[in-house]
Amino acid sequence: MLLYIDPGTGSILISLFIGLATTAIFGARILYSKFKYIFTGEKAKNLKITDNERIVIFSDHKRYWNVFKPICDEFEKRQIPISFYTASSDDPALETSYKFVKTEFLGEGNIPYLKLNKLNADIVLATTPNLDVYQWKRSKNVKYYVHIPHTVDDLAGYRMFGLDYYDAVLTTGVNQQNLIRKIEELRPNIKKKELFSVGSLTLDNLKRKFDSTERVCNDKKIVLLAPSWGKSGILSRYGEKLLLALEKTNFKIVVRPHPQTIVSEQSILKPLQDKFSNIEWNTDNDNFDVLNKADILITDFSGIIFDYSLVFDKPLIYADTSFDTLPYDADWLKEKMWSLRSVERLGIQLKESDFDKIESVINEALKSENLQNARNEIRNECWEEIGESAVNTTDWLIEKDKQLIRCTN
Amino acid sequence: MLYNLIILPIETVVDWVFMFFINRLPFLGVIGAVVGVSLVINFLALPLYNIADSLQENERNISKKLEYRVNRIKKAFKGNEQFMMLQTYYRQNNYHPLYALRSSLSILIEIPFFIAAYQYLSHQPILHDASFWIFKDLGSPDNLFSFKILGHSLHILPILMTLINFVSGAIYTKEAPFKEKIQLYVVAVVFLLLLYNSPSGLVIYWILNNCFSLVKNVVMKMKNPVAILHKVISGLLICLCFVLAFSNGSKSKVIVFSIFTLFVMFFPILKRNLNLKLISKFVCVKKISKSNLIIFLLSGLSLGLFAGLLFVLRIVDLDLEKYMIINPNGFLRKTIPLFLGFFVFWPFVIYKLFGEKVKLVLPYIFIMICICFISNSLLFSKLGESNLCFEISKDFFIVNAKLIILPILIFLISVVISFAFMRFKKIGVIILSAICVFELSAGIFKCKKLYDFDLNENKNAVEYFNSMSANEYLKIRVRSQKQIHNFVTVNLLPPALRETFYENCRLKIQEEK
Repeated sequence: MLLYIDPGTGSILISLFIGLATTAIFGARILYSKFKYIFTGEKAKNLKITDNERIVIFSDHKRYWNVFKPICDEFEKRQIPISFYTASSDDPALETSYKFVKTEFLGEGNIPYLKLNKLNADIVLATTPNLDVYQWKRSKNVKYYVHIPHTVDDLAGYRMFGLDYYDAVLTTGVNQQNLIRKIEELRPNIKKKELFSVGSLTLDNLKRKFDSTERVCNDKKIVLLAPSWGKSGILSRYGEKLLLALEKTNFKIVVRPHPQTIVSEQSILKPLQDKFSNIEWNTDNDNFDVLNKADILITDFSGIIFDYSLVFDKPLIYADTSFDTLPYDADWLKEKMWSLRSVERLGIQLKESDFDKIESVINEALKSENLQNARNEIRNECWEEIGESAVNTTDWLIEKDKQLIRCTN
Repeated sequence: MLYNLIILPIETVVDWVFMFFINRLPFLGVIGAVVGVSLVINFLALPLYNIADSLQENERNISKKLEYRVNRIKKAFKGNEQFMMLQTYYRQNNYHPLYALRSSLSILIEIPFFIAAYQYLSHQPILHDASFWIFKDLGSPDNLFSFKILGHSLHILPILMTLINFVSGAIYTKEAPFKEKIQLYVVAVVFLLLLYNSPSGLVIYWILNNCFSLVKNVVMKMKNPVAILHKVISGLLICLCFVLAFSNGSKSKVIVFSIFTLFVMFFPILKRNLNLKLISKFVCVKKISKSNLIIFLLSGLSLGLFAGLLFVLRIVDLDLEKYMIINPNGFLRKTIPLFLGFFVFWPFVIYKLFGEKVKLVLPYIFIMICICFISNSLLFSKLGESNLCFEISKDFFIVNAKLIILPILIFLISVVISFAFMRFKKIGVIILSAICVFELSAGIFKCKKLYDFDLNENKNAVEYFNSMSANEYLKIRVRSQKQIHNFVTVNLLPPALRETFYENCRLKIQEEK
C-alpha cells in the first residue's frame, strides 16, 4: 500500500518514523530494565520486609559508619528501637551489640534496592543521593525520606537530581541550605524539601577524636597528598609529575588515594605505587591518623579539605585542576561551586608551573594568617551546632516520627 | 478489516461526492468531478490539518525548551545511567518521548483521506472512458510526448506535479532548518517515482491537492485566514446553488441546499453569539468526565451496529432470492467495519482531537442521531419493491401527513431523550448498552436464518440476471462500484456467477452499441 502525501506532510511523515523509532527504542529500554529488575528480584524473594518500622537508616557503604554511629549510639542511649540496613557485608555496624538498634546486611549491588523499594517504614535516613533516579526508588510504604550529608560542602557535587526526591535534608550549615533552594528553583515539579540544620556528624566525630588526641609535633614536616577520584583528580591528571617534585623536597610525603580510586582506578594507581615505593601509601579505613599527623595537605576538590581545614585547623594547598561540572547539579548553576570558592580561600593554589618550587609554596602556606581567618569564616558558614549534631539529628527524627504518626491518625 | 474500518468510510464519502458531480452536474464532466472531489476532501480534512499543525508546534516548542539539558545529559552520562537521568529529566518536565509522536500521530489521521481517494480513483472505471483537454484517457498514464526511444513516451503530468511540489515545499519550509528542506525535496522526488505510471486522472487529482496545499500555506501566512476561508466556501456554495437551480434537479433539493448555504454564510455571526456561557445554560458544563466519552461511544456503537448489521440484514431479508446470499459473512465483513468506522472510530478521533466545546456538544448530537435513525428505519420499514439498483418506485413517496409529522415528532422526542441521558448518565449508559446487546443478538439470530438458505433451490436469480437490459446492467455496474450497497450486489455473487454476470454485461453493452 502506497502512502501519498504532499511535501508538507511528507516531511512530517519522516519525523513520524523517527518518532516511532525513538519511542520504540525508549520503550524497549524501559521494558528491558523492568525485566532485569524482575529477574534479579528472584533472589530477593525470600526476604521480605512487611512489618512497619518506624525509623530506618540505610548506609550504602561501610565508610559512612562514622556518620551513622553517633546516631545509633544516641538511639541506643534513649532506648528507642530503630533499624539499620547496610549494603556492605563488612560494615562495622554489623559487629555492634546494640539492644535497640537492629542491624542487617541487605546484600550487595542492586539487591539492597530491591528490598528498600518495598520497605514499610515511617522515616528512612540515608546519605545516598539520587533517590528515585537510579535503581533506588521511593517506596510506596515509606512516609518520609531524609537525607543527611556526609560532607560539609554545599552538595552541588552530587550527580544531577541528587536530592530532588527527598522530603527533607538535615544540613550542616547555611551553605547547603542556600544551594538546595537554588536548585529547587531550577527544577519544575519538585516538592520543596524541609531543611533543618543539625550540624555535621562527620566533623563532630572528627573533632571529638581530635580533642582527645595528643597534639603531634613533627621534626620533619609531613606533607599529605590526598586527591579525589575521577578524571579531574590529581592522580589522574598529573600524579607522576607532582610526586617527582615532592620527592625532591625535604618533607616527608604521604599519599592517601580516595577509596573510590582503589575500587575503580587501579590502572592509574598501581604504576604509581610501584614507581614511588618510598612514599607512604596510606589506605587506612579511617583517615584520622594520617590527617592528624600531617602538617599540610595537598589536594584537589575533595571532601577531605573541610575535614582537614576546619577540624585540624591546618593550611592546605590545592592543585590547579579544572573541574568539569557536566554530570553534577553544579552544571545547572551559573556561579562557581561553593566548595571551589571556599578552597580558594582556605589554601594556596599550586600550579603545574610551580611544581619545581613546591617547597617554598608549602612553607608559605604553613605560616599564613589570611588562611587562618578564612578557616574561621568558612567554619561558620558550613558547620553549625558544633558538637551537637548527633543529638540534634536524633531529636529531629523522633519529633518527625511523632508528627507523621499524628498525621496518619 | 482495518481498511474497512478506517478508510472505507472516507472512500464512501469520496464516492458520494464523485457520483453527485457525475450525476447532478454532468456538464462539468469527469474532470469537474475530480476537481470537486479534491476540493471537498481537502476542505473536510482542513480542521484535522490545523489540529495537526498546532500539535506539532506545541511539540516543537517543548523539545526546543528541553533540548539544551538533554544534550548535556547525553554528553555527561552513558548507557543505563544516561537512560535513567533522561527519564528523570523528562519526568520533571511532564514529558515523555512518546509525546514526540503526538505531532506525527495527527498525520496518521490525514493519511487515510489520501489512501481513500487514491484507491477510489485508480479503480474507477468511469475515468477510463473519459477524456479531458489534451489527455485522451484519464484512466491511464498520459503519454504526451512520444519520444520513440525504446518505444517509450514521456509522462508530463507527474513531472508537472513534482515541480509544483518543489514550489510548495519551498514556501512551506521557508524558515525551517536545512534538514527539513532536504527531506521535502527527497519526498517530492519519491512521489515522482511512485506516481509516474499512475492514471492521469489520479495525477490530476494529486496536482489539485498540491495546489490546494500551496494556496493554504500562502493563505495561512496572511492576516485572517479563517475569514478568507469562510468567504471562499460561501462563494462556492452560492455558485453551486445557482447551478443546481438551473439544472433539472428536484425543487425541494434546491431549497434545502439554499437553506444550507445561508446557514454557512451566517455561521460566524451565530458562532460569535453562541459562546460557552450560552451552551452552559442548556448543557451541564461540569468537568468533562469519562462518562461523557462512554455515552458518546455507546451511542455511536449502537448506531454503527444498527446500520451495519440489522439494517443491511433487513434489506437482504426483503428479497432473499435476488441477493442469493449464501454466507452473510461476505458482506457483513464489510458493512460492520464500515459503519463502525463512520459512527465510532472517526467520531472518536474527532472527539479526542478537538476542544471542550466539541466534547460537550457531540454526545448530545450523537444520541439524537441514534434515536432518530433507529426509530425512523423501524417505523418506515416498508421500502416497497426494490431492485438491485435500489430505485424505490416513485409512487412510494406520497406526501402524506404521516410522512411529515412522524419524523418531526421523533426528532423532538430524541432531543428530550438526549438531554435525559446526559443528565442521568448511568441510566443512559445502561439503556444504550442494552440496545447494543439487543442489536447484536438480533443480528446473530438473523445471520443464522440466512445460513439455512439453500442456493441450489433458487434458480430464479440467474434467470433474473439474464433478463436484465443493458442499461440496467450499466447502472448496476456504475452504482455498485463502491457504494454502500455494493456488498449486497454483484461483488457478493458466488465467483462463478459473478464472472458470468460481467461477461453478459459486456456483451449486452456491445450489442446495444
